[in-house]
Amino acid sequence: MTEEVKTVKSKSNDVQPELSRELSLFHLTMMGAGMMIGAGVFVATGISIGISGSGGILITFALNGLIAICSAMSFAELSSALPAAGGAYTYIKQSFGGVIGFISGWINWFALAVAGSLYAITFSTYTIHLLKSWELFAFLEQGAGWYEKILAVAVAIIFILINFRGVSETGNSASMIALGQTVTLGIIGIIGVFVALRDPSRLVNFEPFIGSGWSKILVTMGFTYVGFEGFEVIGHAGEEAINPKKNIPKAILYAVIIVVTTYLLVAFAAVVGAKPEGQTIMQWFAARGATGFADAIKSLFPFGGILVTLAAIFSSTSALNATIYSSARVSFAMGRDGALPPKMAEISKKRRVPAFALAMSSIIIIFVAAALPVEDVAASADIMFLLIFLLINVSVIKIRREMGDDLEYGFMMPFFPLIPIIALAAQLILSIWLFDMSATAWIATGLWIVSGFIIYFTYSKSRIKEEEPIPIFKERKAVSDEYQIMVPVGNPDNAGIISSYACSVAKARKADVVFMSVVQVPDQIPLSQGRRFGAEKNEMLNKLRNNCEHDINISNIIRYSHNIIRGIITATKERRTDLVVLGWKGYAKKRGFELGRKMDRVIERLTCDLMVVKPGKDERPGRKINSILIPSNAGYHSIMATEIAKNLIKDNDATVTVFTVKRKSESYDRIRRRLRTIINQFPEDRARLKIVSSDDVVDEILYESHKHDILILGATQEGFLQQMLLGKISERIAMKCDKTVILTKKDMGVKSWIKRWIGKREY
Amino acid sequence: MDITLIIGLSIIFVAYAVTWAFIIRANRIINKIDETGIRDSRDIEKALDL
Repeated sequence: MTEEVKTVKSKSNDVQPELSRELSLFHLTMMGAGMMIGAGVFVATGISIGISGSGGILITFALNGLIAICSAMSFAELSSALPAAGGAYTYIKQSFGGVIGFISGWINWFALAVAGSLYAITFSTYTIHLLKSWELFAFLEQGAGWYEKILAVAVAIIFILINFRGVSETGNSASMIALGQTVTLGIIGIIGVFVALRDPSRLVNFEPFIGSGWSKILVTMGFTYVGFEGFEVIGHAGEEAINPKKNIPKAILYAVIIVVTTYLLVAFAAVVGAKPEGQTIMQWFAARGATGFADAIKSLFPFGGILVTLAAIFSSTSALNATIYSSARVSFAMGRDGALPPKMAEISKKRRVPAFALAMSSIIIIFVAAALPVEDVAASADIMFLLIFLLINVSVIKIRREMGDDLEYGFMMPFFPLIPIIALAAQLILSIWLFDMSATAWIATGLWIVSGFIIYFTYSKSRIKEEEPIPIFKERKAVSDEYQIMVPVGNPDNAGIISSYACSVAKARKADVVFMSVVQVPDQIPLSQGRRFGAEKNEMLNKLRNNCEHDINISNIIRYSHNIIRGIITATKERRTDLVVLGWKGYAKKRGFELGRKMDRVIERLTCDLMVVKPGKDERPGRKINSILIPSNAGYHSIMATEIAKNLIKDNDATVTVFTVKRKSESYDRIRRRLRTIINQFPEDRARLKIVSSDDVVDEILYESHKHDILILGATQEGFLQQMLLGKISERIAMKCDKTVILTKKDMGVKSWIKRWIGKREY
Repeated sequence: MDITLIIGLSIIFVAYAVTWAFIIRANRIINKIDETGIRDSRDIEKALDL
């Protein structure tokens, strides 16, 4: 596979800015599946069975799946051809421009905000439902739904505040949450099938199969459509995806099939689980409304109700968080285009979040959650998303016809244009049919669209910028055959010292050096917009390069990432880095971490050799080193310490002392034999072996360290965890020592099967 | 047997099967484009007989 790194054009040739591509096919698929499952299925399943019956819900999900896969193919084609930070708004704007482009963004913003309201209401409905089962909270039965509203607003405010702080969950944690909720629902569905096989009498719930006519299925198809949107979030991640032309369309399609299968299983389980007793199945579900789904699962297996309630609570909070920052991103993009006031595109200096865009989205989320019943909120979100996807299906036809020859596709749908035409016709019918379910939702949508037209013709039309050219991400080969050393720098105080050691090693190894600074960009804005930050890093990186006196090939990079740790790890993998040189302040802020939380996580996930430099009190860049101490027991990581020492004595004309602390039971001869391999690595006149007998290894090494300029330690092997991380003895010495300490760790090429499975290398 | 049951189950199975068929076809197209490196829309249409 071609090894490529995405880079963006820079005004300066000195520092190369690049976007951190971190999201694999797994991450992208789970991101989409998580957003789709969100909360719609928990709320809409019970209500829909109450409308269209037990067989109706299965037909609803199967047909919606078919419509969703048709739209997903349109979206996949667009996102593979336009792999910038795209979303529905971007694609429709490029296709139509003008008023339709504006209205699509206007609707997309509102749809995401309303979906956020729906998730807040789902959270409160299920939380109150759970609390009501305890006597202590029996008073919640009263209040005519006020408690749900208050809690919905409260949880929305909490997550809005979290977003204002620039904190969010993406990448691994979000993927794992999505995987968890998908697996939980899948298991519930499989249990439903198993129960039906063991007790076929439960299948009586499927009689009659169609409850109140075929036309009601069109209503529930429209009503549950919110559970089939969400894959567009994968398109938003275009600039963060690894191999986007292949992975984005695949993730969109995989997410849809995962979700359709899961929904069919859980809907079957819900029908099988219900115990109507004297009522029809439709009456039973209609009486329970949004929580009917949880009540049905409750009687399917022990703790089923609790499990599904907790799944709903987790899913809704995760989806709420994602929709808050997604809606802010859309309004931010509209502000940037001039379609909305420029204040929308302002980013707060402190937290680097689009504060005004977030505030405007927050007002919609809170207002809708507080003012409308859950059915109307869900129906409003449904209508908006149906209209958006309808426009997407028109856009895919228009873009292939008008711009297709100029674009590079990663996916082109078959049976074109039949598939998008079928999808848009179905979406048009479903959105119209939703009037039967909620006239309020159509009125709210209509008012929003009319207000959009007013804003466009009175404000935006004269201000909107001409269509921006599609951002071009120049592909270049980033991997050279030379030995690669990467130096991630953040702290300007010790950057000079770290880079000086890295350059010495690079000179000895004839290696290329990359000085890299990672700029963290909040999830609330696209990575490409992070370029407005980090100007001060240019100066630091150029200074480091200019200070290096050796004749070596040095590149400077500013890497934009939503997460510093992932930014470093993916950069090392993309470049097939051989050695990473990190600086360390010498202490961990929190207990339980060896070198510090971020540092530990980087070390744990690196798949190359590592050198951690902790500058001593008398250290300064370019200082001459006369004497090197290598405390060693000839362990695996001592090889690395020896290699680094060999590199440094070449450049400094230094001597080396290999030092070991003997246990009482060991003989001197045995230790000498063991350490001979290390001593023999150095010129005879430069190296000596020193053995002392003591019970306190750390104190002896610290005492000896005073006689030398630097210590080079290999990670000790003190058990499984310490084999993976740096050993405890090394860390204690490094923390206490006044001299410069270099900790080294040889890549052991060992990763857990889970990590190998999840973190499949695709560069 | 209830006719609505037969029609209903047929719709479910056909819709689900077509969804899978689309996924499999789309997946093949993506892999083929990735393998061949053909990116131009007309070449893709010819090469993959879309």
